[in-house]
Amino acid sequence: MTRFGLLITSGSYSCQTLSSVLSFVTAAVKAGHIIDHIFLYQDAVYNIAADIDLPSDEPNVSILLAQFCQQHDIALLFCVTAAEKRGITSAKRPAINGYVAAGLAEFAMRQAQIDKLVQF
Amino acid sequence: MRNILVLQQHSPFNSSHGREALDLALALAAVEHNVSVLFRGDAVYQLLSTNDHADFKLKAYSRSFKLFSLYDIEQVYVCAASLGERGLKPEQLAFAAEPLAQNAIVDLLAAQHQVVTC
Repeated sequence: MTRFGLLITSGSYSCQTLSSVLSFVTAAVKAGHIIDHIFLYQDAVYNIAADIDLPSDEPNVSILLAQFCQQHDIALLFCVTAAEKRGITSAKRPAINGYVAAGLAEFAMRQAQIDKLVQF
Repeated sequence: MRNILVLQQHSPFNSSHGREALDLALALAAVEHNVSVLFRGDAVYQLLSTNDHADFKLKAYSRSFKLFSLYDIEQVYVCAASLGERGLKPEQLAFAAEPLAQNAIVDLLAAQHQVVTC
């Protein structure tokens, strides 16, 4: 059993990243591993914009990932500074439900409690 | 405490990668991890001096590299081959990162618990 941390630094609607993340965590949990946290940094914070509006025949992977993390008690965090710099979140505009604002310090502290960091 | 390498790969001003990598390195060091930083590829341009210019509006964040020692980040390296490919010499750098040959970079990577690519 391995305890994983995930760092997401790329991707939004324009690329496959979050879909790959969902595949990875689904397979890891199924195989009996533990996902300690998923941390969104740099342009990955575009994934948490609450105003994302997709056609009904396109799955919203941000929401699917949030649901998976809630079911499996995985900390799903985003860097609040990176999000605010990009205008993704503010006091009036919170992130998609399930994504928790955090600082780089929380990401840094969590590195002490994982076996492997995987970056997407 | 973990050995964590922050791998800088991007040029200084085309994107926010370098700036956000700096923030991340300092945050990791602030909670007592053993942080190393390696500049490779176009990231070596981050180590050159910056001039103030009225027409250039981006923050010269690379001047904050002097904070590394304040945060006890003593292992700051630059890929010697990346410098050579760009016609740069270590003595031209505004921040004196230690040049590493490829085999030393292999050893550096092997010594890490975690590598963060920025």
